[in-house]
Amino acid sequence: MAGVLQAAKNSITLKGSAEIVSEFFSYGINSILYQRGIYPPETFSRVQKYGLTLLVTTDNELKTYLNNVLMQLKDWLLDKTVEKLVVVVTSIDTQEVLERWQFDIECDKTMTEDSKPREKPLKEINDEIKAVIRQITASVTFLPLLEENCSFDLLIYTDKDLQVPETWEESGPHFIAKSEEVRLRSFSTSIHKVDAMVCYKNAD
Amino acid sequence: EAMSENLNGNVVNSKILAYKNKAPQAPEGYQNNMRVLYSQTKTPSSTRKVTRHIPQVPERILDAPEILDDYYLNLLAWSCNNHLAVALGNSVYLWNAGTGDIQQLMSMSGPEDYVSAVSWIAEGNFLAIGSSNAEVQLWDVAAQKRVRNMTSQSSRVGSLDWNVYILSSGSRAGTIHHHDVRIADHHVATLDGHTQEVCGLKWSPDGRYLASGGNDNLLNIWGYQCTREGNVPLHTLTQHQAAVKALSWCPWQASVLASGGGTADRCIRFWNANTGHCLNTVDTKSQVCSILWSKEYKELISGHGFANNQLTIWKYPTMAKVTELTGHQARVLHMAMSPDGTTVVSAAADETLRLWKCFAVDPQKKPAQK
Amino acid sequence: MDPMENSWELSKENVQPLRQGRKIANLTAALQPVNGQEGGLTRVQQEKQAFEAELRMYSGDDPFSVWDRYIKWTEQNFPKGGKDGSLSTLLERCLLFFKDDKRYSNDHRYLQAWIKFAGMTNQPVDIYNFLHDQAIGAQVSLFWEAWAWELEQEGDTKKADAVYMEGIQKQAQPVELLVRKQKEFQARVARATLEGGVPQQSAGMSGTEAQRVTLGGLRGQGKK
Repeated sequence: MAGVLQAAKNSITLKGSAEIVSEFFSYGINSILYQRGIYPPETFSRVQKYGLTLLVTTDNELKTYLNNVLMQLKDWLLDKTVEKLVVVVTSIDTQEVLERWQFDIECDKTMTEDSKPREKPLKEINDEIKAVIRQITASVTFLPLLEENCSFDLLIYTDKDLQVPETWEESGPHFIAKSEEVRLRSFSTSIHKVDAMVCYKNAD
Repeated sequence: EAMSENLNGNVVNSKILAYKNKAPQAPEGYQNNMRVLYSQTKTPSSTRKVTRHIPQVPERILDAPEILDDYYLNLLAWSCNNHLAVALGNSVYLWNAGTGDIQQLMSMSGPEDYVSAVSWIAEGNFLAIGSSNAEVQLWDVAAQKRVRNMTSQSSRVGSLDWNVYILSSGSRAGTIHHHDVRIADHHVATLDGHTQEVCGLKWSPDGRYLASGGNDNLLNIWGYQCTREGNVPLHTLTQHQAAVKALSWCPWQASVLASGGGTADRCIRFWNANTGHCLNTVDTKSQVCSILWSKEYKELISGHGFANNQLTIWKYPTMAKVTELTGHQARVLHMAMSPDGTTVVSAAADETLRLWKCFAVDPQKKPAQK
Repeated sequence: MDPMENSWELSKENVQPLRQGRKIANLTAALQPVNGQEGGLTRVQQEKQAFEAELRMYSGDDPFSVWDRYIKWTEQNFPKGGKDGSLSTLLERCLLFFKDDKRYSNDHRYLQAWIKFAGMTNQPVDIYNFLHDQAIGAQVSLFWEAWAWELEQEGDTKKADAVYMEGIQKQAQPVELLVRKQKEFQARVARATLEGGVPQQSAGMSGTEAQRVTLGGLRGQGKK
């Protein structure tokens, strides 16, 4: 019995992989919003996940926004149409893009919902995700202070021929003109691979 | 280059979509609290009730040339025989706090090697020394002689602590080894609970628990019974959001531990080691490098790095600030306490050691109850 | 993954956060273990000497520009902020050098250096009082904002508001920034008063106050 459970735990289906990835984004984006001081720290609460203590928003409006985006993301992950998720941090006052967290998503396009599951221990995947989130937490080491009040937006890069849902709109890439960039760690579910990177305004 | 690749490649082949209803904005007037990281910010101090006299200037300042400016090392230890051991670069010096005599105990032989940790055995006659080349040396101080060199670790040994005849060492790779210094086959246990450097290591005074802190932001509490392999921590505490170096056990409550977090965390937390519960927390607004409990008063002292470089004395358990001791020109890296508990020595990246007589017994007043 | 790429994380506690952010290449280089003193001067030592030489030789009409680059270079190349970099010594040299040079009284870069310096002292407000007396920075909104922020941190919201007022009245540039910052500041004070019911002196401290009450409850538990 334990063996069967163990095997199920380590078998990754396309659906399971999409869930792991969208869950990572939920915690990862919350970590960015907290660590970068985009929202007041008192609007976050602590939860245990991946063997870490993570901070997640308690603001209902923000929670709703994140849920809506991530639910759609999960569908697109299942359809294998997502290429990137980008967190864009913009100065409210000047509209200048100050920081840009880019997550490149590679997907094994041969996988379907009926394919034989892939084998990768869940613990290994969680440890990889843990390492990425720990780097987000440590990024204050090199990132500039966000001096002005900032807002954020989430951009999702999809296949060119994707039908745009009514609640979504097309957007520009919101690059930072002269930027410094730092590659962070990546993780893989064996079906989806996510590479993380952060770009920020070049220091003088 | 990556940008032009994006511009030329991906953008053309993909659609960029955003959700129409945008995320809410932070409330009006909200100011990024991370600003505290970049300047000397005073933590709001409650009305200071000065209950006793604490000298605001150090009793002595000692020159500490070439002390390594590295948060992860533990370069200062004070013995029950009143010897202060200080690692400066590749050497260890002993300063006799009673007589003022200075003696160089040892020096590493390799040109690039340096001393990364020092720790006294309880009796004060042996000093354990950890090094950048993964050695754990044992020195007989009276004879000025190395008596053992234990080489089970595979990377820099930045933390050491004793439990009677067991010497525990923490490495850059995250492994903790227990060395039984009495026997030839000294390496008696391995604790695998950290994925990055172990920079804090402290046995509880009753020897029941070992607390370890790492650059992986974890604080582990281990039981004293350990075997060679397969040990798991009693508690893995994940609340700190930065490296955990500062660790100190309460002298009067056997299972209460204080821990301090690094730059991204800045908090001092109190734990019940029996249950793993966090009893209390206080945001110090700057990197915590070391913590010591007073033996005389119900107080603690913490040493800080970015951005304040101060020592702070706190009342326990209210955590009201008693005073701040300033003067160091760069961050305070390590602290140690004199055997009589009256004096704290701080070592800072300004290459000085400062001795603060901040816990002197006041003969006029009855000291706090123990 | 290349361990070099992650050296910033393995040494994160040896890096002082920098308001303008860090260049990752300089950071990675600075965190490499030092290899003795043999082999002459390191790259960093050579560059430092070049700056010192440029300070002596400069003959253009913006002498501060060399100091400005030198200060920023020091911040980037000495991430530990320890004795070697001695940023505060460098700032002090620079600030005193130009103290009476009217060309720089309202120069953004020069004010930024003062603000940096104030942030490294125990009594930043004293520095701002001094600058005010010397009429340094009066035309620059940056100066007023930094001063008011320090006062707010100390809980002196009344004085902080007065500083904003004076800066606006003096039309420090850009004045819109100061107007906006004052509005944000007032919103903070109002919210703190509303939430905590605490007098305005304690604005910005409401979180701590709330915690103190909680801790008060622990007192009984702590005693045997």
